[in-house]
Amino acid sequence: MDSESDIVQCKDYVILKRGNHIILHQLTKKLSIQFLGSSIDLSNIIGLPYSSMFRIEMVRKNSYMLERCNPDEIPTGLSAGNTEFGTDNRNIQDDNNAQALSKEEIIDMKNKGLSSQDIVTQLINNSKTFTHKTEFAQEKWLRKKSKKYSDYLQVLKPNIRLLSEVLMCNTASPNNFKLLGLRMDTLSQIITFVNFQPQGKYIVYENSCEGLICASLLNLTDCRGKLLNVITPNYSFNKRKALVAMKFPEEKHQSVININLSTFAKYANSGNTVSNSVICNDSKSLENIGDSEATSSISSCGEKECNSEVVEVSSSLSTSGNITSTNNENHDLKRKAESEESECKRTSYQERENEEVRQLLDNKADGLIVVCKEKPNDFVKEMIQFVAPSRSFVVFSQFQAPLIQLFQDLKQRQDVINIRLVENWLRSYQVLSDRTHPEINMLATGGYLLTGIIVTNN
Amino acid sequence: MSFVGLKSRIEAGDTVIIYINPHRMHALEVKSKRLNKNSEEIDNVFQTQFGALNVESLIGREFGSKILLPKGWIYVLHPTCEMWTQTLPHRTQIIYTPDISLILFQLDLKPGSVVLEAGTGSGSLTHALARTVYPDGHVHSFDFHENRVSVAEIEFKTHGLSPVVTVRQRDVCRDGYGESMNDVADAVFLDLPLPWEAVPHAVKAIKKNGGRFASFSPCIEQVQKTCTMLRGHGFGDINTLECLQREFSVIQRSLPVLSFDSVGNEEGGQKHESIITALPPLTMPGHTGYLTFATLPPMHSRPLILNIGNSGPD
Ligand SMILES: C[S@@+](CC[C@H](N)C(=O)[O-])C[C@H]1O[C@@H](n2cnc3c(N)ncnc32)[C@H](O)[C@@H]1O
Repeated sequence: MDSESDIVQCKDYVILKRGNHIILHQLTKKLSIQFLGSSIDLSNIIGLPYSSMFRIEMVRKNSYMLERCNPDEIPTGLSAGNTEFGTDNRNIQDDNNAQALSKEEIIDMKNKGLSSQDIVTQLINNSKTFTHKTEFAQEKWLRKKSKKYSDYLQVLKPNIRLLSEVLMCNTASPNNFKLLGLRMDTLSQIITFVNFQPQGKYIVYENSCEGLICASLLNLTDCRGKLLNVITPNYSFNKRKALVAMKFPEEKHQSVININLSTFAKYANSGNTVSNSVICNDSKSLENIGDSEATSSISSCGEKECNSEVVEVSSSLSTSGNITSTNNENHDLKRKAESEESECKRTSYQERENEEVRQLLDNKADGLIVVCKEKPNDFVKEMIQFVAPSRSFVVFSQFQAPLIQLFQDLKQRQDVINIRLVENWLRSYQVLSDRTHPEINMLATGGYLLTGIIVTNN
Repeated sequence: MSFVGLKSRIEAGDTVIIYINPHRMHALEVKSKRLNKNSEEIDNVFQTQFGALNVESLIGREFGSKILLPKGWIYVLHPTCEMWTQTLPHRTQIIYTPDISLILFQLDLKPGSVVLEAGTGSGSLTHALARTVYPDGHVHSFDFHENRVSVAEIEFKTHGLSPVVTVRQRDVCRDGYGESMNDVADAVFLDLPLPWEAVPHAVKAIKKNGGRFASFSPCIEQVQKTCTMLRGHGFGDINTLECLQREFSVIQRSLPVLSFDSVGNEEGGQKHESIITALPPLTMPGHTGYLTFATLPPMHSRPLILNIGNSGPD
């Protein structure tokens, strides 16, 4: 197997999973993170294979390290021991005094390094109501506690599925979704609607999705495929965390060609000429991002990492209900990335590159993918001319209204057929013997998709 | 041809989609002759509401062209897996695009992946799997039904999928995937009446480096048995999902306006205002199936003691 890339390395973005919580973190010089209220030293994960399991061990008060452990030692769920249970809840009083242990005492136990099983046993012994709870209720309670106090941590290699999960939910403010509320089912349909083929050539515009769209498409691209990535003056190369986190091999990045929006405009207006266009290969711009991001995290002394919030929400929006990601945006980087871009402009290969762009635009694209926070209507109506006949476009919006309008406008045109506007509904299930039911919470929306097929009328 | 890969002009032997409207599409193989009911060769003519289409005349046309017929026009489109799912001849129940999309995504498939599928059924999912793992990956598809296997095989060949798809006749619950499939799969997919019986075989087939698992089942009892089996065989991150797609029609309606101004204005005719809105359909499929996904970790992180059949609390 591809063993090199299966080993955790310095500077890697890693996904850390603890009980039900997952976070995305870049391994910079400062190797400690705050995760569910404890400060954990990550040094021990470097050099070990991805998917390894670790026991979280206390070094001193509030400070922990990771010890690799055998997966067999991890309990599948904490057990209540030989406790009795009630048959229904008639004797349970709903007061806040059910638990005799104070919050401070519980924290103290954690600080003393007691294991989850020990803490949970203490909680049971000090709970006035536990034995009155029915077996179901006891199990439910245990499951909740065991996830909260999980002593184990798994390090996972980022992939598109995990990134979409970790980047999607902003648990800090549940009503303010990241990634424009683009849920995984919607993302998965963007790819099928556009008939994404590994060797095809696709135009993509994404804004405010942390590079997840580009990363998803690039992941599905073969060395012969091409992504024409539309960039605008406000385009920010360093807000593409997903693209960096995927750690694609260099050759992959060669498939991404950044083209200024103005180039498309000029080409469309001036009878297919390309002058002063900007094109640069993604590997160059990406390299810069990678570096600058790493430096920023180091220079800021990991402060940002420490501030990264891990907020608990008792919802289960997906398998792992609570999803957070470390947040280290740096506005200074934006300017830096922009200057890289203008440097790129001055390259001596300009002529050849212009020719390349012209050819790319002459031979129309196999599809158009637009996922952005802006109102996409005018852009889509213009960009359709760059899509070949019998190929599709797909537009994502967080809002239905602009897509209704776009639907109407496109309906008037002769060159677009099979226009469809869809929305999805996605529900996840708790599956346990005799206790199977939909999860209590679900994402109420996953965004809207509009799609259609280009045709010719001659 | 051309379900994997893209081209711009129609050649003999291609499968094309005849588009009449969003609800009327047909898949056709472009060849000059076809067999009639009595197995006699006749000219390949396709009848539409707008008149007859001589299929051979499509050769050389650009995909996406408008084709004029005696009483109207149609479009001839490049085939896609999604249009095939909409138009294919049903030999079994099939999986539709919203579920297919989620399966591709959750199985972490990409060019080069090796995926095992059972059963092949009508090949609806197989097409999409093939497109994703193309050009250097592979789909090994299994079904125990002889006729379905042979029909699917011909279909995949006609559609140019042969380099990436192999179909085999086999009872995967009883006999597993076979020696040759040990440690080859990045992902395993099941659409079977008794999926849990195939779980131990899936473990053998998945690479030592680990992989993903998915199962599609219409009934919750099937899901429960499958999840129990997965837990007992070292799988983690077990997640059951259900996805439904709602399609809107965009409509413009004129609505009478009710306001204080309407009072005493009966004979003058009520004022109307126009609205544009997206209308969901009155009815839609409310259930297709449950999708259960799971991860089999790499060997080094796989639990050794597998308490088969024993479901832990989570
Ligand atoms: C619902 S169909 C699959 C449909 C397919 N997913 C599609 O999208 O077209 C189920 C198929 O599984 C096959 N099957 C059932 N039990 C099987 C077994 N034990 N081994 C192999 N195939 C089996 C049946 O013959 C049938 O064709």
